[in-house]
Amino acid sequence: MRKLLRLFLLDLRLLTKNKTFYLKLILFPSILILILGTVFSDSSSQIKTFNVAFYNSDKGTYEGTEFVSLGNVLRDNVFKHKVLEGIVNLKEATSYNQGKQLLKDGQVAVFVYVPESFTKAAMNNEQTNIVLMGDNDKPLDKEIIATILDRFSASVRTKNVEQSTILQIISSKGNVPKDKMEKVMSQISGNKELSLNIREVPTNKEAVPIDAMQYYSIAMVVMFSIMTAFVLVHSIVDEKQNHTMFRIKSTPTLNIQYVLGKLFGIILSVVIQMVIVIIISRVVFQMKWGNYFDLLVITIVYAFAIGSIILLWGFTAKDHVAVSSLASPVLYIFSFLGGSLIPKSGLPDSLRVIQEILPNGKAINSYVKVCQGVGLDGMYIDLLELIGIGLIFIIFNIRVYNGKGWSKRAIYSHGKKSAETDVSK
Amino acid sequence: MLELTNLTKKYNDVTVVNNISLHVKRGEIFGLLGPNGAGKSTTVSMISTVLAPTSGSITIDNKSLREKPIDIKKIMGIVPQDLALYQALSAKENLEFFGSLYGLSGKRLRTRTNEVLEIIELQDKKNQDLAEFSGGMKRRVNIGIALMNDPKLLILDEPTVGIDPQSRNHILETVKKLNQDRGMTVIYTSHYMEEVEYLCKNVAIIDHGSLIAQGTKEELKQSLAACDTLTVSFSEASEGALEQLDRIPGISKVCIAGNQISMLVSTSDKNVIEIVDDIKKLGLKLTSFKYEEVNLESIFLQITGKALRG
Repeated sequence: MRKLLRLFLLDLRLLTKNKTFYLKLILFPSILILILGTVFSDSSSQIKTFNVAFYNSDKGTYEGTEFVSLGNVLRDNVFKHKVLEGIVNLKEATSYNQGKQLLKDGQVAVFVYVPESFTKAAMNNEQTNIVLMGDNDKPLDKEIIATILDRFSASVRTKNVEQSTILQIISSKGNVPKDKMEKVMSQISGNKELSLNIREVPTNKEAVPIDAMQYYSIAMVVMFSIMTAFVLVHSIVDEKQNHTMFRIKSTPTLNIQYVLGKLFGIILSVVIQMVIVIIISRVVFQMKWGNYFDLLVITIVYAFAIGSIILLWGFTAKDHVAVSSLASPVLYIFSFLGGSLIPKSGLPDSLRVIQEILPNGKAINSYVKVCQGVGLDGMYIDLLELIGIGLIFIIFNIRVYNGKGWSKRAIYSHGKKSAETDVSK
Repeated sequence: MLELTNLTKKYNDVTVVNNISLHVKRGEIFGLLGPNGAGKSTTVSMISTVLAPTSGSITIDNKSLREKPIDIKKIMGIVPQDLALYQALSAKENLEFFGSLYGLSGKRLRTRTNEVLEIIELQDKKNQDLAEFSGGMKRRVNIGIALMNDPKLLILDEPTVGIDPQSRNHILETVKKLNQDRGMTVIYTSHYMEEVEYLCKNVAIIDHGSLIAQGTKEELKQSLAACDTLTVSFSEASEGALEQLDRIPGISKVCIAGNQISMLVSTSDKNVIEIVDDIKKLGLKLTSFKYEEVNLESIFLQITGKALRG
């Protein structure tokens, strides 16, 4: 264990004397996170709470004995729904003009006005509109409210169609008792499944959606870890070229100690990189990452897998050019297929399968789950598979490192004939 | 201490080391002499366990290298032909790192590092990065690393290649001292016959991967009825002169490399001056000549028909 630690510390010491180490390991990811944070913050693509002025002049209508006001429904059941808590801060205006004034003064991002005859018109399938006015400097906020209103309108239309269809069927049958008709109508109104509804795709009950900043921070740190591993395997080529590998092989050091020493160097570097990204994104952009212990476990397991794969190339490559020549294709192909450049949801089904197989894809999926609040028990299969990949490649690494060294396969017996010119005999 | 039995290394159809058998006694400095590409480094690599032999066996300290590689590595120090050092680290850091791979730690590691720094006389420069060292100083660190485990068997593969005479002398003296003071068994490979002659009692000569002679220097001289060597340099040579050299009485085995000719000479009938005169008469304009009594160079020339440094 001490030798393993020595080999690992040696790499670390050599790296700290290398200026490009700081550049590639620390500076690049830091700059990238700052850029990502700036882009996603300034472009308003990150959703923050915004003020919405709401003026409801809807007088409603009576459906039988029941008073119905869709304006009230919009205010109470939609804008004040707990899902929109933390996104929409509703300010009720006392008049249409006050609502416009609030928008003009910049006190609200959006003004929503429900006209006087909205419910009546909607119930009679007549033309009607909810008025939406927005601050041009806050397009995303306006877009969110417009989407909500679209969904609301669609839902109202759907219910209208459902009700009128049912009524037509009932009236065509004739002699349907009034209480049964009311029961059917009440079931339609109360049944949420019949209404148009956008379903989010959570991974578990507690899962929360993550924003673009979170996703790309994860995606980028996973991509950079591949680059970091390639930077580190150059040290193996260095050791071949400066003959220190020959020397290490001539010491009583086990092959597995050397291989694991190299791998631990990669794991530590990737962990450092991840910690830096987390700290910067947390301090500068208040980004939420989820459970830090889970993140650490995923980082170590992922670095173990990706490190052992790239390490194999380090042991196989004859020179630095060979390492570098493979670095770019692997980096871009793995990043693309793994979901660092395009999210998994944007990939076609066939590539999604590959995304789920690749170690960096597994890592991104696991990190995303942590950000969504999923614990390690929700991703243990991915983690076990990553460990499996790592172990398989460690075996390959040891075999390649052993190279043409002593092995059981060598022939140790030979003919008894000695050198003919051996004059000592 | 070391026993090689029918050691062979082949790369596909190319035989690099061919059926070498030799025995190195405990406490001696054994010379492995041969020109570049003779197979010395491959042999050392096999003893170091870095390369597996195609066939044959290696026994060190009565233990089979195949059976007990870790045990043997603990008592063996290897000085590779190429500098095997971390240039970004200091001499002290290099010694400490490799010492730790031999299981040294804490006070033992620090003490041994200081001892080795004294042996290689680099105490005052121990904290400097190797990048700032001269070639000779780096060679000394290269040797120092192999001494960290206080080995019973020290193998030096051409340790003086490309260094200044002062560093070379220091290395030769260090090797001699290690052998005399500590009883360290040393295998010294070189293509500099004067180094091997100075250090070693027993010598093996290899060429083209094969062992072509082995024994003490005296045994080699007697068994081969070895001759003295005459080396001449010339600026001009008339046509056909070089081809007629071996017809001069007293001259045998002529080896021409550029404008330098090495010859084995027998001075029983003629003295050296007379032989030189005969050479001049052939039409060679000589610029210098050197006469040496029988040595490893002349033995090598006699066996292979070529100069050792050729």
